[in-house]
Formats: sequence, C-alpha cells, structure tokens
Amino acid sequence: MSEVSQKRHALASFPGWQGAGAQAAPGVQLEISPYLGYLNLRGDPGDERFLQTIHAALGQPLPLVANTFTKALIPQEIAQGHLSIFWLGPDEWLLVAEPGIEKALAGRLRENLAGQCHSLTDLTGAQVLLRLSGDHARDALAEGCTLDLHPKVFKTGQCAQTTLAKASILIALTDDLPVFDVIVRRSFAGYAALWLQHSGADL
Amino acid sequence: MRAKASSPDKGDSGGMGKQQPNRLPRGGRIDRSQPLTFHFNNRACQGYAGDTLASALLANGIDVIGRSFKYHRPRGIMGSGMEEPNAIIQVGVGADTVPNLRATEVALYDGLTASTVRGWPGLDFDLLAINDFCHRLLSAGFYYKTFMRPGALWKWYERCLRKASGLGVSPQLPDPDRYTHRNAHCDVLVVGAGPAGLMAALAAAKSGARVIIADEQSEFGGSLLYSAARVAGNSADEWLGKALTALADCPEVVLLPCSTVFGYYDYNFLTILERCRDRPAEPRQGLSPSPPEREGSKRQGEIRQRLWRVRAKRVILATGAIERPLVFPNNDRPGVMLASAVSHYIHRYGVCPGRRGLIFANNDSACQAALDLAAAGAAVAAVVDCRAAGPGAIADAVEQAGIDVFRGHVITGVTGRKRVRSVQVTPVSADGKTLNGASKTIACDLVAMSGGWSPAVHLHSQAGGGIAWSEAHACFIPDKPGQDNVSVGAGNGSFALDACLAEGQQVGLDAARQCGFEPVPFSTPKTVSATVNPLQPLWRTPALQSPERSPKQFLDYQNDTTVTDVRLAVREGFQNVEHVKRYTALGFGTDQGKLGNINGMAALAECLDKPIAEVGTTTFRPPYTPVAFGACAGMDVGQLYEPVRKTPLHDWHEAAGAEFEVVGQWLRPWYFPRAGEDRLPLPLTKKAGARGAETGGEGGDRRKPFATLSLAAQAPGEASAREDLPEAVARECLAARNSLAIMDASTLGKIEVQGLDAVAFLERIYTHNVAGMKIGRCAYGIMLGEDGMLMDDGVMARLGERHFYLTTTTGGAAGVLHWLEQWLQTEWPELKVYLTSVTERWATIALVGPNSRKLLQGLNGDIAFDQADFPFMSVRSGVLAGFAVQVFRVSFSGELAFEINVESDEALALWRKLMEAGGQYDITPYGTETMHVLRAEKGFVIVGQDTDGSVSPVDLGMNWLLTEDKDYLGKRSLARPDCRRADRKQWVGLLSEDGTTVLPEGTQLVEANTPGGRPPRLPLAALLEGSRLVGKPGRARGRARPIPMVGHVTSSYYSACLGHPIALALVSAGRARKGDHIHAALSDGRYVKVKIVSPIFYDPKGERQHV
Amino acid sequence: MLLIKCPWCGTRDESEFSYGGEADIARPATPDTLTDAEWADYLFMRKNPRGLHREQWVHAHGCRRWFVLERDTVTYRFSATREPG
Repeated sequence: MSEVSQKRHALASFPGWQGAGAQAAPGVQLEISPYLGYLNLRGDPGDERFLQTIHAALGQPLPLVANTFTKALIPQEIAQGHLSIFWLGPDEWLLVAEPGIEKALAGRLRENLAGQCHSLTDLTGAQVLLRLSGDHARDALAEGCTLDLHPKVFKTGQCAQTTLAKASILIALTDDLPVFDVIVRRSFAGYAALWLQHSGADL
Repeated sequence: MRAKASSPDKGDSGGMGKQQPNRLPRGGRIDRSQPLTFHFNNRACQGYAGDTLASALLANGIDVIGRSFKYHRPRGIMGSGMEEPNAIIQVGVGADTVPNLRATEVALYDGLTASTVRGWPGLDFDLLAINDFCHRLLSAGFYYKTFMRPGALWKWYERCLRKASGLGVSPQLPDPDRYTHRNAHCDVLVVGAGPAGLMAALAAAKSGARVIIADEQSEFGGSLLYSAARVAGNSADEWLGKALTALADCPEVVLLPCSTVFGYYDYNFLTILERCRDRPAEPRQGLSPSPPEREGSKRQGEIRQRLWRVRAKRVILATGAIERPLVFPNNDRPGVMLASAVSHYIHRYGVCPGRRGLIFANNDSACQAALDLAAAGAAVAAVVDCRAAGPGAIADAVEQAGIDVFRGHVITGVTGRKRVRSVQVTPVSADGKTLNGASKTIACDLVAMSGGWSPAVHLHSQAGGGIAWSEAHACFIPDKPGQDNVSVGAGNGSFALDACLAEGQQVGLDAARQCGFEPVPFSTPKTVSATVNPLQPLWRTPALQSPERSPKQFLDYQNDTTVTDVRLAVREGFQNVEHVKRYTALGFGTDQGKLGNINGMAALAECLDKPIAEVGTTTFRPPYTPVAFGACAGMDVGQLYEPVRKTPLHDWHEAAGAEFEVVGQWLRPWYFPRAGEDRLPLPLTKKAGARGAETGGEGGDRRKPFATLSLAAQAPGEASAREDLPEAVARECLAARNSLAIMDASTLGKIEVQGLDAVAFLERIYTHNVAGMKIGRCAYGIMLGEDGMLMDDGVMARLGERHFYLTTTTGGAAGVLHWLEQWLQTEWPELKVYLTSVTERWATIALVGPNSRKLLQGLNGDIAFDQADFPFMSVRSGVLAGFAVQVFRVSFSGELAFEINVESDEALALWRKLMEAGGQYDITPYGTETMHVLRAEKGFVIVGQDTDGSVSPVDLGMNWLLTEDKDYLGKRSLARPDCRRADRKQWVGLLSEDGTTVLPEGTQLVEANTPGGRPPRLPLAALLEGSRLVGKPGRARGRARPIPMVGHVTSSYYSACLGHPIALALVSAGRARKGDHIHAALSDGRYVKVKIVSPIFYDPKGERQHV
Repeated sequence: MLLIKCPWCGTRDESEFSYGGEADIARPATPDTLTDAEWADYLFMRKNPRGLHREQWVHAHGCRRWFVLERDTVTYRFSATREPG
C-alpha cells in the first residue's frame, strides 16, 4: 500500500478545498498547501559545534537573526528538494521541506548530532501552511494581525510568530509580490483558513 | 453607494419646494440631482443625496424630533454633528433597526425609515408630558428617594420607569450587517480634518511619513465647509479642494472620512470607527479601492462599519471645539439652536432652519449666523449680545447689514412650546450678573445661540493628558500631553483660522521630523484675520425670578438636568463634580454631556462659590461617541466567533452522527446515538430488582445487560435534575466493559521532553519517582502547583534515557507547557532540557475492552501485544497495520486498553481499519460522556471537574503518588497546617439511598443528623426567598436555621454497568466516614439521603486492566 | 493595549504576551528546612508597589521566552527589559 493513499489532509473537508487552493476574493489568493514535512530543532546557538554540524548536514546555516528564515536546496545526497528554516526562538527552529524528505533530513541530523545536546522532533502533520498572495493580501491580514506588514517594515525573508485573530501563527513573507506563508497548528487551520477567506471578502 | 442605489424618483420633484419648505433654492454641498425619499414617524419626506437625516428633517420643516428624557418636553434639532443631544432617533425596522442614533450623523439614503425613540402614545401628544408640570416632584435624586422601599418592588418599579423613560428599542433579530476590523500602523495619526488637521497632515505627509487622517464628517474640511473666509487668495472651499488633492497625492496617506476616533489608549493605540456605508463612494487613498458593486440590494455584502485599531508613533489632535449653549429659561424649545449649526445647515445643506432668526451670544463667532441667515433670505430679528461694547469686525459687518444689535442684553424668556414664537430680551449689567432694565419681546422662530467654544479635549484627556483653564477663552484647554501627542487648532484653544493653519503646519512638520523624516517646508496659506471682541463668560443668564421659580434652564438636554437640579444637589451635600454628576445624571446621556457638562460645572462652581477651574471636569473615558456592539465584535461572530478545533477524526465522527461537546476550544464527540435510540428518562431502575441502594462500592461485576433496564414509575414531583440519559451512553459503557470500544483521545496535550537533564527536571515537576522508571515504561503523574494543589495530571512515558513523553489534560495543554517553560527558563536555566509540544503531531485512538488485545493481535505489525511482552503501563513503538505508531498500554476505564498514537494525517485510515477489524467484536465508538462514566466507576479523577484548585493530592487519596525522599513543586505546601487540617474535604463516593436519583453535579451536601433525625425542612417563605436562608437567627418564627454544610458533589452519573447512579463528592473528613449517611440538598428544596462509600465503584482491586 | 518589547522579537502588542507575576522571587533551595511562615512568605507575599515593579512576562504567542520587565504601575511605562537568570 502506498503511504500517501493513507493520508488525509487536515483541511480535506474545508469548503472550497480542491486539493490545491481556494480563492478568497479578487485581489487575494488563498492556497492551502498540500502535505509538507516539518521538524522542530532545538539546541544551543552559542555552541559552535552544534551550528557547524547543522550547517554541514543541511548545507545551509541556521538563521540566527530573530524573526528571519532561510531557504535553500537540500544537499543532493540527502534528497531532492528545498528546505526552509524558520527562526522560532533563540534556541528553536522549524524546518519545512517537501513531504517525505523530513524523514531523510531527520535521519541525517540525528546521525550527525549524536552525542550533542539537542532535541529534534518530527512535527509532520501537526501544522498546515496557508499561502496568501495578491495585491490585497496585506489588507486581508491586517484585519486580524497586529503586526506592521508594511513592505518597508516586514520584508521578504522575515518571519514572525504572532496571532491572526484568535489563532497563533507563524507568518513569513516569501516574495515581494507579496506572498505570505502562514503556518498554523493543525486544529486551528480550519479556523484560520475560514478567517482569511472572510477577511479577503471584506475588503 | 446609497446614491447609486436610489430608486428613480416618483416624479414629484415639482412639488419639492412644498415638500421641503426650508430648502434654499441653491447652495449647499448636496446633490440636487439625486432626490431621496425617506420616512420619519411614518411621514414620507424628501431629501437629497449628501443630506444628513437632520438636515433633511429641517428642510421638511419638521420641528419636533423627540421628547425629552424626564419631562417629555418637545425637542428639536439643536446641533449639526456628534454633539446633538435631542435628535436621538431609531433608524430602520426589524433586524436592521438601530436605536439611539443622532439624526445629525445619519447619512440620508433612499428608503430610510426613522422614528422618534420616545413619546407615548405619540410624538405630538405625549401623555407623560404631565411630568413637565409636576417637576417639583421629579427633582434630582427622585428615583433614589421614591422607589427605595419596599426593595422587593423595585423590579416592578423598574419596568414602569423603563417604559416611561427609556431610549430606543434594541433589535430583536440577529444583526444582518457585516462589520470588520483593521489593524494599522502609521507614523502620524491626525484626528480631525479641519484647517489645523489638514495642514498638519499635509506637512507630515509631504515628507513621506505614513499618515492617517480621520474625520467624523463625510467630507473633510471642518469649519472650512461653511466658512466665509478667504484662504491664500481663494475661497475656503477652493482652497480646501486644492489641499485635499495635494494630500491625496502624497505617497503614504490614508484618508478616513466618516470615521470617528473614539478611544485613545496606552502606547498611542487609538481606535477609529469608520462608518463605511456613509462614505462617499470613491476609493480611499492608500487602501485598496472598494470592491466592485455586488449583486442584490445595496446592503448585501456591504461592510457597515470598520473598527480601526491604530498604533501611531505620533498623534496630532485637531479635534476642534464644541460650541456651548447658553443657559436661559426654556432654552430647550424647538427652534433654539447652536449658532454654528445654523451656519452649517445653510452652507453645507442649503437648508435655512428658520424664517426669522435671532442671535444670542457672548462672543463674535455667532454673528456669522446672522450674516448667513440674511444671505439666505431669512429675516434677522436681532443680535442679542451680553457684552456692552467692544471692537469686532464681524459684529461691525452685522450692523452694516442693518441688523438690530442689542448690546448688553440677554434673553430672559422664550415663548412657544413646539416652536419658538418670541423671546424676551432684558438689559444686563456689564458683569452679566444682574438685570437692569425693562424687558422687550421680540418675535422670532429661531434662536441661534453661542456661549463660546469648548475645545474637544476628550482624546487628549483619555491619553492621560492634563487640562488647564484658559481665562482668555473661558474654557478648558489641553495642558501637558500624556503620551506622544499634541493638540492643535481650535482643539487647543486657537480659534482663529490663520492660527489654526500655521499651528497645524508646524506640528505636522515637527511630527515628520520626530518620526525620522526630512520635512518638506512650504508656505503657510494667508488668511485675513478679523478684529475680535473678546468673549465674556455667561454661564447662566440672570433670571427675573430665582432659578427655582423660573421656567427650566437646561444644562444637559438629553438627561433633562437643569440649574435647579445642580443647586439641589449642592444643598443636599454633594460637592465633588463626580458626585453631582451621578446625583443629577448630568452628562450621563448618550452624548456624555458634550454640550451640557461645562455649563453644569459652571452652575456647580457658582453654587460652591469657586472658580470653574477648581471644580474641575469629570473623567473623559472612551468611547467618544457610542459604538455599536457589532463593530466591536467585527468578524468574530457566527462560525468565526471562536476557533473550533477539530481532531483529525472529526469528519468520521460527524458522518457517524455523533453529538458533540465543546471541551476548551475542541469539538469532541459526546456520544454516538444510533438510529432509533432515544434519551431515556431517569430515574432508571431494574424491572424486577429490589429498589434502593446496592452495595455498589463492592459490586465489581454486577453487569446487567441494558435490555433489562426500564423506566421506574415516576412519582409526581420526583423529577431529578438529570432527567434523562442518552440510551447511547449506556450502550457505549457496556460495550467498553463487555467487549470492545474505541475513542478519539487526540485532544490530549502531549509534550516531548528531551535533553541531558530531562530526568532531573521531571523529578522536580512530578511527585513520583521518575529516575526509577525504566525505558519503555509509563507512569501516572500529577503536577502540583507550588501551593500543593493538584494542577494537572496525565500519563507520562520514558521513551529513552533522556527522552520523555508527557500527556496533559485537554484543557491544560497550553498552560502546562508555559508553566514548565517558566520553571525551566526563570528558575532552573542551568538545566539542559528542551520541551516541544506534539499535541497535534499525533492523533490518539483509545481501544478499550476485554477484546482490545485480540483486535490488535489480529492486525499486521511488529508489536507484541501479549501480557508478558507488553505489560500494563508500558509503551511500544512500531508498525501496526502499515502505520508507524506508538502504543501505550494505559487505561482510563479500568479495562484492558491501549492508546495508539498515529500521525494525524494517517489517523482516519487507521481508525477505519480498526473499525473494520473490530466488527467481529461489535466495536463501539464512544464519546466523552461514556469516558466520564467509565472513569467515575473506577474513581479516576478529572482535573477541573473533581478539583477546583483547592484540592490537594492528599484530599484525593493519592498519597501513594507522593515520594518522600525528594523535593518536588508543591511538596512543602502539603506540610502546611492548612493542608493537614483533619476536616479538609476529601474525595469519596456517594450512593443515593433510593437507588434511583442521579444527583445534580454541584449539589451541596449537608449533615443528616439535624434535630428530629430528619432532613431539615424549609418553610415555604424561606424557599421563596432562597437567598435569605442563612442568618438572621430568631428574626421570624419558621425561618430556617443554618445547616451544617459538609461538601458538594463533583461528578454524578447513572452507571448502566452497575445499574444504579453513582456520584463522587468532596466531603469534609469524608474518608473516615464511609458508611455514614448525609443529605444532598437539591435545588428544588428536596433532600436525598446518600451514603458515603469508596470512590472506586467498580473492580476495586483493579484486576481487569492487568489481564 | 500595551506595547511590550520582547528581548528577542522586538516590540509587539500586549495580546501576544502573558503575565507571570512579580520577578526575582527565587525558589528556596531547601523548602523542607523552612518554617511555615518562611514558606508562606515565599508562596504568598508579593510587593504590589505603586510605582516601579519588576515583573515576568512570556512572549506566549511568539518565541515562548520568559523575560523580566520593569513597569511603572501608575503610568504603565516600561523602563527595562532583560532575560531572566
């Protein structure tokens, strides 16, 4: 049996969900991302060895500047695909990759970090990524997000953990278009997606 | 938008002149090509696009708009904006109805229906106007003095009083309108778009700063909209147009007309109510243009109001000033208006509110109304000025226009009840205190009054700024600001136009600089400054008789507070302005005393013989003007009211017809009714069995098939609080005990603990021995607060040497993680431990029942499930039916049970597989109700239901979990004297002696050994007055005496498995009292005798979970 | 709505934070040796001053870090931020 056929997306029954995306309103596109792999990594950023081990294993350094993320190709020998690393806290990062890759990544990291103090937790399935884009994406978000999302303030490459209405989110600007990635806990995903649909329609 | 939606005119535009007798043939900023029809008190009226309801009513010659609050006096329109105290109306019908709007702020739209909020049986003939003639009985404090006794009758009094006095009618249907919120950030927020605000915004915005400028009017311009002044060589109107264009061209500007800044909170956080529907239909700058028109009626899909939540670096308050009424006898008659309102209606709406106007003022600005009236073709009867003489360019212009000017005169009387007919004018001394001459009567139908101007310091004060008394202008002006804000223009006491423009420009440039922008200087527009005759304070016109004998002199129109009321309050000992406010209701109306407060304070100052500055003001609180609840709620209504968290298995539960209950924010299956299943009325009992209590505590295996249960004959009045039981719950319980049941336990909080010091950390958190746990073993762990009370509980497992997995209660998940992090980060930063929530990573499926192992053994996988390989309280990882799983052999039911963690996305597939494979065992899904019953039968505690933050593990009988030879959070507190009291409430089981009554949870328990050995009986009177049961010994014969209360019921169910009700309770020293009888006091007055037993009702030796 | 400066994430709305009470209350190293009065002092007694107050906050909806702020309980102004420990 294939693994994928066993899976059911957190928003599979979300109204308007076609397995690919949903339109919020003219000028705002809301996409529900398909499956992604998520890993939570914690360790001491003051420990050079820890940082170097990660860099060597992943082919990209951990973002150490608060509220930023990096995105790069995964080293060929691990898997084909991209990896985004989001700063979550001074000793905490979220790794997001295409589905399935997280297991290879986790394996590599565990191997390389053996004996070093860290924690690596697979959170695949625990979160959902919503992608909001279009000219009015900022307006739609501003209805429930208290961050200043002005292009001069919140720039591509930045991320922030904050709230969207009554849900906690991780928001990142991945493109100047703009394209916002909103990562939300699985059980809040339906609420957040519905909320963005409504806020997009309210502009 | 409203204009576009207007229906084609009915062709009576020819009769418009008749319809709108007060509409001027030309002028005004209205669109005469768009006539609108509206209804006021069922009368069809006409107006134009651009009108407010007030201007349209005036145009139609409607004088009486409402009745006053207390005396039911006829009242007309007095102002032209948010200060309006009288024209409070109800707009719309049915679900759309909105009460208590100010007609001056309601943008007219086609088909609008409005009605008076008061007046019974009708506006023109109000029966309660009799109050006006009985005013001596209705003085300040009248309610408090009259309706005090007997207290029990207040509810009846209140109903009558509300009918007599109330304002509008609340809508009874859900609000069909849509509201939204907008968070915004800016460098400079400018409040008010009059001359000062516009200049400030322009100066700041030219530098590139992010500027938001909001004004409550539908058009920007403030006083420029009706000013006769020339600005920079242009008319005020032309200059305004150019300024707005320049402003709109700036890169980072948001223009918000129809938007009231109503709250100023900490750290320059301000709230703005934007009335979107009233907005002219052009796109706002800096924001996305309005979406295309939607299908259907004008209201479909349209946002009614948007609440802005703005964080500004710098705030410029250009809020303008509010004109003050003058206080003279009958100063509330329809036709008495603010002078600025008269000018406003003429210039802005092309409406002349009277045919023969008279101006009464203590300052120059009101003279403009005389000139405007004359220009509009109305007669000007006179200008009555309390000042004896003085210079004044505008006053000169009035005299040059041939208008009579009565210097050194005041109005001492007004005739006319539903409309002013004439006024009495009397010479006054130079200080304005005494009358000194013969009165003269002048006919007029309009009195335009002006007592000077009060800067709108509301927001400045809300921000924490002080205010100071200005002798020059006789008003309070902003003093030191409380935050990063500055006041400017008339709102700062600078009333001259040239000063407003210059000040505005300066603060705008300053603000840009303060926000880090390079200001772009530009020349200040020049205006002609007029010679001004200084204002002379006139807080109350001297009367021919004492105030008590004169006709009423109103201070607060909306609440009918008069000079006499304030004087009475002072005579009765009230001196503080806040107390006088509350005693007289001065400033308590929906207008919050915007017109009346200052005159009220002056009246108080006069009585106390103090300067006004010493009397001070009452506190300014948000909101500046009323805000609809809908706007506060925004999108947080209906489906979006609260996040509804659903488990990965939710869709299956829904398809299976589950009833759900909300647990925290989670939606959990409550039980799964099958077709044909009903709710069974209680009490239930066995058909042929003996009634009465069983020895349930020992009745481990007294399982009865559900079919043998039936209804007991129910004696009248014997209904218990839990009146029915879902048949499904009984079936689910029996399935779990007899064969196999399955539950979605995904909502459990789950935390992974990893790191070098994981053991050391958890030893301090949990009360049990963590270090001694072998890898692969589970333990039931409890967490105590530092006060020793049970905080949370759950199973925890050791996955590796330095790797643990904890579960928390569903509701405690977030709180426990924060609490753990707090200890780690603030108290023990030296511990190398990392916590990660995996609550949503795993779905948890509980398989419960004697057949659970057989089911799992029948599936493919690499986990050995037999007793030897997989003992109770252990954990295994592996593959089950093709899924990567973690399996915990734990039990919250006392049965053989397994909890399976599977990745959330795969949970549904595994659940389906288990349901399919479990068919042979009649696998039964169950919900939280059955879970509760099963755990209660076993005496397992539920934190938050059986505990309330004041229950220690010792109280619960959990001493076996407390390790002596280590320290843990809360341990020391358990040794505190209070925790060792012998009479602490302890957790026990209860059985109803009748064997049938399911006690309501929360039921109070009382001693049985009252005199006579019977449960205490309450006299009927005491039952009726339930709240007065306790105390007052010996006051009246038959009164109940205090009853010794010994505890309360925490959990209570009907146990289908045992065949009788069971309850858990906290009872004082209860563990030593097993076998004792006490009474449960039901809320209907009955008592049920109950027996104290062990809290473990089923399988007390715990054998079933170990098989 | 206060504006709170998280030492890691910068200035954010109050709604992202949770309050953790008075700062600098160290848990006694050996609770068992304390008298009831000493333990009660640690457990219950708080300064609740009018004026400057050092208190704990956590960026609950952000980086989940605890930190110490000094707040004037009269004006609600914050004057210092630091990490705990």
